[in-house]
Amino acid sequence: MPPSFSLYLHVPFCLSKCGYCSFYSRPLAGCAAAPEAWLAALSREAGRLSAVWGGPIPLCTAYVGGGTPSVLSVGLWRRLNRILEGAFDFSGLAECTVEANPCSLTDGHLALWRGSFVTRVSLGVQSLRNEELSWLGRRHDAETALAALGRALSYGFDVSADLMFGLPSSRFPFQTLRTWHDSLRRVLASGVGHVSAYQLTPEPGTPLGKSNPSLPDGYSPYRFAQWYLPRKGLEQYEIASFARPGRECRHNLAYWRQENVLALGPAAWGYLVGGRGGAGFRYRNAPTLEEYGAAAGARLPVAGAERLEGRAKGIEAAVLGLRTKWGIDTEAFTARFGETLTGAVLEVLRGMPPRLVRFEDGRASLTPAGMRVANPIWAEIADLRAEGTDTWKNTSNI
Amino acid sequence: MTRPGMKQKNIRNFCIVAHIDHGKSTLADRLLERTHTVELRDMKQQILDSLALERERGITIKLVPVRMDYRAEDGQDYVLNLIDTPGHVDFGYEVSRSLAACEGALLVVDATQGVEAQTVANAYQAIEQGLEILPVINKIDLPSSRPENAKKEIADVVGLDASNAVLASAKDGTGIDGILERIVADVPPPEGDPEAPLEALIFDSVYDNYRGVICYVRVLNGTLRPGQNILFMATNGRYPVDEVGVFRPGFTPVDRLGPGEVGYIAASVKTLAEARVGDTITDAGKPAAKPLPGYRKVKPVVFCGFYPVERDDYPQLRDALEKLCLNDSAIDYEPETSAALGFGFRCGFLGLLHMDVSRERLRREFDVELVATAPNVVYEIVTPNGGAPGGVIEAHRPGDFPETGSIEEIREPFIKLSVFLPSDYVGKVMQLVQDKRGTYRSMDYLTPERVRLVYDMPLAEFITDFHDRLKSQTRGYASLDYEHIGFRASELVKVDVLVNGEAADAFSFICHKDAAYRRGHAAVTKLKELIPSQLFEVPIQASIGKRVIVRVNVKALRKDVLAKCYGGDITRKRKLLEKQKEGKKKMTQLGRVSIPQEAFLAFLQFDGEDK
Repeated sequence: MPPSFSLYLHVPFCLSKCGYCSFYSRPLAGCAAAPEAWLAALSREAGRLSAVWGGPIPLCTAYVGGGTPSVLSVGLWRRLNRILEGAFDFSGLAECTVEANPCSLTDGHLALWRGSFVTRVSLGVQSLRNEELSWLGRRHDAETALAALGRALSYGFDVSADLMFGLPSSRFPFQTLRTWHDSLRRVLASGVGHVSAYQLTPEPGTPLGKSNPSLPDGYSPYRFAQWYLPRKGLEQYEIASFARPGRECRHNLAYWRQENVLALGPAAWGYLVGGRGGAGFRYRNAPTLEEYGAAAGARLPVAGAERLEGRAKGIEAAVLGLRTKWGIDTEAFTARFGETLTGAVLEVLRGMPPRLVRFEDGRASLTPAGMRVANPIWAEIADLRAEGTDTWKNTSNI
Repeated sequence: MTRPGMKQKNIRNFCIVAHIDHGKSTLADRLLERTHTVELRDMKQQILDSLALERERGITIKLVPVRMDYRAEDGQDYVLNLIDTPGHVDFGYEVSRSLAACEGALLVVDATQGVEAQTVANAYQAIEQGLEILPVINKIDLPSSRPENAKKEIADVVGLDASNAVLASAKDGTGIDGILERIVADVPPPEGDPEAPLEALIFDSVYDNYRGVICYVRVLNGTLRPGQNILFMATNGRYPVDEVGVFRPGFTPVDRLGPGEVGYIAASVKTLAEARVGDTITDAGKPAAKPLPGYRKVKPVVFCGFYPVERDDYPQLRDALEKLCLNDSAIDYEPETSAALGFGFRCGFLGLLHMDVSRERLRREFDVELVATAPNVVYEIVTPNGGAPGGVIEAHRPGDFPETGSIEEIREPFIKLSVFLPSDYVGKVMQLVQDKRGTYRSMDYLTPERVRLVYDMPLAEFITDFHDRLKSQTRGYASLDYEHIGFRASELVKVDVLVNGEAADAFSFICHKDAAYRRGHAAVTKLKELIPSQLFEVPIQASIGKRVIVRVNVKALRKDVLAKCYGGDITRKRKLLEKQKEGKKKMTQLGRVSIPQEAFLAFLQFDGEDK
């Protein structure tokens, strides 16, 4: 089977930055030069990638994230598509997701995407309670979000909604199970086949992280989602992901299965399999638009990389595998990482209380209860790491 | 310089005994100043307390003798040797050896405080050694001083005639001449025959990095000279003498030490264990018939574990302990390992103060950060006849206890405790002492306002915060003294703590059976606070043998962060997990329960009473 790649493309622009967001982006308003510079550099990077490959690179999945890809005008999107179509081969593409914000998503975008390789739209809904949206600093209200969902669905896309829990419950905006249920229910009623439910996390360096608010532990809304969404036909297939059968995000599975992902754009991350000795190679592009623009050209704008091999790679594979409902396939895992590590991982899992881990069909996976306390279980597995390299190098040649 | 031919009859050897804070060190300073032994400019610090730590605590631990030259009113020159004594009951044996080196003692009583618990104990020890006792009423400069009261208390409580006590103020110098004259007049000159076989009492020894052990000696008979071959009668060690000298107060070599003289010898002795306090030095070629009476090897009574804060620092701790023991032969130590704390040492001390001081010295002098576990006493366990030979096991820790079935009797060390206190507090203190398993011996009214209570009490109860509670319940007005009175049978039990059904040795403890429930409850409650939530509910139980007496549960873990994880998140997330792992390094796995090292530390320093 010829190799194929997943592609992650980072659009570093937003209308405005949300207080909790730790991804790289900058406001687009009133600055036409920045997207031009970005497109130009992107074109150089894509050209360089396909030159290295020796032709258009075959893609199986793609994901355009940000930032907010929908803040790019339809005109910019046309040019972007042309760049991508020149460098990549979409004939074998199974899925291409674009992230969109309810404020900026237009029929123009949807029509253009419909006529291109885009198959899936992931909408940043976050909540359908206006008080929660305003506390989060979102520019849209529930009505706008629902309208955007409806529009995307009407164009025939697979649509996913991001929803957020773990907002303050004892003070404004008072996220309770009642408001959480309300958001979930209305999102489902719109007809989406996929929900990403994730916890509001104060990341260091973000305004939210700096304000260090006291937030609830998020346990009860998470548990509720685990109970509610499957009843409505959306199975939990990963820690934060719920989907109707067949609607799982295949691009994300590539991350969790340590498959090839190419990075495109500033601050994007990639992962390449099969270096010397089966090592994995995770790399990141230059972190700002300026550095990216300066670096992309004759060489790839890679700003840092880590080599992952042996036991360390196996441990990461185990932890990532346990994020998903498929867990760890014992036989396949043994073939990749050997019996010693497989045995050690299984021993950790067998040492857990039985209702947290399921051993079925040659796989070990977390039960919904196990997913609720996944971090300490992963920490146990991370603890197995005794050898394997984990080095950051500033390098720009791969 | 020395004065050859100083007549034996012109030597006076004396010490100062006092309750803590009654002004002993200041008085000693004043005497040195008045005899020009130390000039005023050197008096910035209290010379006798040479260890910084002692100065801080205001307590003399190591003895430093000093020799003063004094021209008395009779026109004759006298040598006055002041032998300082440790001011704390932990060092009772050293005190007794120091007293044995003297012919007289100044009994210093604070004119504002009167007789306190240690005044009596120290005075009686001096009397027991046959010393001439000169009462000194100190601090008469203070407006609140009541010298007549103090005199009366000396007469009534101690039973000594204090009618001609010197009234003094070490602070402003009042009465210092009077004290010096009284020493010359009333303290008998030493006896002894310079030609008799050598008998020299070691009343202290210190370790010097360059010269090895330096013994502080009092010559009773015969003469000590450099070059002489000497024999340590208790340890049987033989050494040639390198140097003999006196204290002025620095080490000053002399050509000999005759009967009645106080000084030091250096003889290239390598360890303090070979030159024990109380041993007799004699001439190896012409030995004394028998050693001087009173020698015994001091035995630690309080034990605790010392562990390095960082496990890698174990070698530093070991080296530091070795060096500390060069200076202090009273410390016993042996290696031990703990599931929670790794490698460390079980150390034995003469008492709580000795333990605290040793720990501080390790920190300050050797730069070792350590964790000390809560102190415990040594127990004697009698096993049934036909069992183990000897029949008595010394248990230094709960882990040394045999199975309940093979214990016939458990004995624990007892003390006789004297508390001096204002009569208003008698009820409170009696309650406290009874809570601490004290048994009443006597109560005397020293005056209508002051009472002496005497109780027998297990040492184990005394070392768990008795002193603090006594002080707080009497607003600091009570003083105490105690002596060890040997081992007695007690109804003791070993309480085991089970975490998730598995016995956790580090948490088990010994206590009286009546306190088992209360202590067990305190222990499991404390542990419940200390053990983090686990993935599942964890029972913590306290049991005696197989019988569970208390149980609490640590609730199952609920807290977690559930974030998205794509692309670069993976590296970040993995690093977070690895960080969790770093934190977990300090966790000890007990079955399926992870217990952080902090929990062990907090528990091991927890003395069983929630305050």
